[in-house]
Amino acid sequence: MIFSQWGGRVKIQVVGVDYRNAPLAVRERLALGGDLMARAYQSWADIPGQTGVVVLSTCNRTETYFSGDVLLREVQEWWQKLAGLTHAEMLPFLLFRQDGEAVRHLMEVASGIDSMVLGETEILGQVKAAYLAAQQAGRAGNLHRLFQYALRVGKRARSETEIGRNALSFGHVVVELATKVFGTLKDRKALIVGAGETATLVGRHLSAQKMESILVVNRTRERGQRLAAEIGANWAGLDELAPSLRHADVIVSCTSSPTPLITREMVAQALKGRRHPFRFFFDMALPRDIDPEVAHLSQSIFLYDIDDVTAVVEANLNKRQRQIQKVKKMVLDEGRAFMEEMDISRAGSVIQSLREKAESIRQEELDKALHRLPNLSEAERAIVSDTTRLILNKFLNDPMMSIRDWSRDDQKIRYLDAVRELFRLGDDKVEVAPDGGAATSRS
Amino acid sequence: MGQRRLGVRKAEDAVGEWLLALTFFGYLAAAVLAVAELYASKLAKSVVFGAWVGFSAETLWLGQYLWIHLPGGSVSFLLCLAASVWVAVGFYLTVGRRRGWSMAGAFLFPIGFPVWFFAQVGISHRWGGPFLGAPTWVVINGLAIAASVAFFLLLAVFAIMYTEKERELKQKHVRLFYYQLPALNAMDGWMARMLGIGWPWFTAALLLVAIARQASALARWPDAWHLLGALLVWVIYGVLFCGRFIWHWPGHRAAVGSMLAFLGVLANFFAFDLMGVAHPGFW
Repeated sequence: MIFSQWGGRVKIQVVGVDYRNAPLAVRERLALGGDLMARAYQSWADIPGQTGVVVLSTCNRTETYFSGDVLLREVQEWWQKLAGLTHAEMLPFLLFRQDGEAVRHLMEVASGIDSMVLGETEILGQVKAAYLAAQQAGRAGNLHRLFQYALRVGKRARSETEIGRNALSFGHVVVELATKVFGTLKDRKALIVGAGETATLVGRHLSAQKMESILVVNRTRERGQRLAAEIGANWAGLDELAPSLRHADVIVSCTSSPTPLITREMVAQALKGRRHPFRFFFDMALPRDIDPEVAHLSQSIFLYDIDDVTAVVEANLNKRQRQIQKVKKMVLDEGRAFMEEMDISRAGSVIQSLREKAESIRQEELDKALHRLPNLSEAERAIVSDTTRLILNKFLNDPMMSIRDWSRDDQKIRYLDAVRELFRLGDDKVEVAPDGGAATSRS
Repeated sequence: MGQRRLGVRKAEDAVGEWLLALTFFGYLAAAVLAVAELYASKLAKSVVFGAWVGFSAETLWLGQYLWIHLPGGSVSFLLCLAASVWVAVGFYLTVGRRRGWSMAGAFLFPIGFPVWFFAQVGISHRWGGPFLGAPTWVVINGLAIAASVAFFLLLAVFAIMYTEKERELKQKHVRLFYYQLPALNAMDGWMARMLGIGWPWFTAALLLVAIARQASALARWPDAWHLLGALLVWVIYGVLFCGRFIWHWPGHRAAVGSMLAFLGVLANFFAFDLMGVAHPGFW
């Protein structure tokens, strides 16, 4: 509501494509990464009326945030030239937001609730990197405060809500489940059976936990050693599987074997004479690699198959989805704070202009008066000067307070233009839009 | 002179009642809020506030109670039970929350509050007999009992937390406890620590009572039921102690054992002491 009510005291727009409205084939053609980004910032200077631009380019979205009196047509042409697309090819996929909606969009993007993977953390870093790149290129301009606010919303969303907590990918969930049992994995040993795609994915996540050791057991030596080298693990052949079970805390199996590789008897043998430490088995294979009976060997043994891990992913996703409203409220609050700041800064410019004009008149008339009174001593001249300043300040005090109050009132914000008109203060006018809202323009 | 003493006594009683009321509401609020904290972590400060209110009020009440009653040597064993909740809450506030136990409050207060409440009801109705012995021994022995029961209470709390989280992980249906409670391994470690502190304290309490009776040359020895009850609790926890540290029981068995053992402690206090077994002491 607040975003749609905000008429656009600072003209901010966003044009872009994202995973929702543009297929990958289009997104990759419109991406503005690498060298193209530098060219984009260079050529942006040619667009008339612009006062700042930030280009956000990730694998799921490419968006251009800009401020000032910029025509959408100009932006489209600029982008077409860069990407080498025609107007017809581009237009159906474009996302366009203006003023309050653009502010909200950026804040939702930064907080992760607009991401394909809800609450993902990478986007905040990407927004920050985009802003810094624009700053380095000297193009961020008037968007500085907007991005400061957006980054703050992103940080708050992650620290004050659970939008970014709880894993959503298989590899992450394996680590999450293991930490729910072991706490830290640093002093734990992992055994990965298989060296395929899933094994690689899970292996990377386990490797990131800096575990005491990881052993890859695989039938094919070459593939096993390749994976082991990639994740900093050791390799052993399948004949080493049974003895390896004895020492492993986290066991992940993901082979294409038609029969179970890890049987109840193998695990029972491995546990024989041992205390009762926790063991977490992840059977990520289809058909299953681990005999389900293994789970019944001890209360300290946990066995999760693909369906179980998927159920945890879904539970985590539901938990994140329950946080969306909290984040949206945060976006609303920060958006309101941003707009108030913009209003106050706009009031500040009117106040400054008014004061400068009044001061120049005072100084001019004071000089004339003092010229006509050459016999005044320095002390008397100072008294006259102070008196005129005092009169001016007293006279301006009430208008200044009113201007500040109007800047916080949606109904009275346009009075600021009346002040500018009345005192002939110059540019930065607020136009009345056809829908009754206000839109900033330069005169 | 007598009237003045009566007036002072009335004022002391009134202060005591206010402190008890404050403890009641503090612990009750902490119990409700600590459970709510499982769903909304922003309530953490309110839990701590409620717990501190209850703990501070009980501290003052205990001081006042001992000031009044200790010279006569008539301290009930139910007081030790109430004091054990005080020790457990104090330990939770000063040590636990700093070591990542904050969620233990969701179990400690809902268990500790009724234990404290019924112990206070018993104290106010003068159920159970007075604790016999010279005042110094009363304090030392009472503290040893309170401390050991406090750690048994915390042990039971961690045991419940452990079994709840383990149940969710075993059933593969992750819900509240999966997200909110610490790792099984951590809770298993805390269980071991609580037992490792509690059982030696309890052993010390048993030895102290024997020494106290020798030292104060008391004529009476405890009746067979109370002696049996106390020894039974000692043996149960002793088995748990050996199971945990010598036989390396798995966490599940230790957790279930800890919960049952704490029921034994409560039965010992409430059943043997209150249900008509007429003896003025615990053992």
